[in-house]
Amino acid sequence: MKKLSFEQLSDEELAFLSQKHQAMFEELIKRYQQRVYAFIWHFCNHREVAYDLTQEVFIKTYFALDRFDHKKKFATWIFTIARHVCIDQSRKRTVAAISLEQSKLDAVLATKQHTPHQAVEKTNRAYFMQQSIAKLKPEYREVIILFYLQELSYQEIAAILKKPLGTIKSQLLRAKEALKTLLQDYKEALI
Amino acid sequence: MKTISDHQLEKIFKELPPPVRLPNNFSRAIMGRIQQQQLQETKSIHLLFYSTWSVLGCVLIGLGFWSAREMVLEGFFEYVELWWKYSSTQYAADIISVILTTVPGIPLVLWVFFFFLFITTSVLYKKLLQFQHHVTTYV
Repeated sequence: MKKLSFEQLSDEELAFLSQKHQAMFEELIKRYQQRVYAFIWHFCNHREVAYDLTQEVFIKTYFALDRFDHKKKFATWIFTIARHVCIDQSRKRTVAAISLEQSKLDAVLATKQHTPHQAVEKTNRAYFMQQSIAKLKPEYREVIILFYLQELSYQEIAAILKKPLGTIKSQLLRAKEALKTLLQDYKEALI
Repeated sequence: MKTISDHQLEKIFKELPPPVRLPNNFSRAIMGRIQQQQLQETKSIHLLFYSTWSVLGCVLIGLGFWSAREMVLEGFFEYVELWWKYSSTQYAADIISVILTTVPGIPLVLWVFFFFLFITTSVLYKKLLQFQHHVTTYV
């Protein structure tokens, strides 16, 4: 009999099997760790906090696996958990209080593999974007992150945020306008 | 001043560098934390299990002593002796009657016993089975 490898299994199948085999869940973590981390990083604007929260998201996901509806998409489910973890965290502490130096450092670290000139440009862009996204209202910030950075569809975003499709579309439109206004000051550096 | 277009915004996002990469052992670290949490959970379940059964055991021992004392006072052992000697059904009936009238709280003890049995087996079975799976498949 041909042995199935992890790569051949869908996320939903892996989630189902993870309830009995922890190694399957490790594979799921590998698939999603960077995406979840990116989502949280943009949401809370802090590297260390994002690292801890990403761990928390996966632990919560693992212990809630028996409640996962396998007919639904795993990505939608895990981002819903990540969103709740971020919201809980922002209630506990003021993420906005994070120093600008930390954000700048995060942006530098993210671009360290480029040439010096490219790196400076990319660092600035990443920094301006990060700052602008952080200044958005939380409900605008989450749709922007999910749509542009996680590249999720309207339907998936609607499922994560538990809002009607029309609301998501109009929320995204308003979020884009708000972001464009914030980015206006950095237009020269960005384009 | 011209504002940024949707297309430009999309382009900016596309060119953004991804956040700092997570270390290679990130998933391992999480699995370690999960395992640790499970062990703690199992420990607390065991503690709950043993303490509830200890309480129940004390209650049963207390009731047992009380019942034995009552049975002696009602002449239970004399009936047993007579029944052993004559093998009469009359004495056997007396023995049963003494047991039913003197052993206090038999129905209560049975209720408590089955309640504990039901709770502990139904709740713990699932948890322990899960734990067994993790131990055998992951360690």
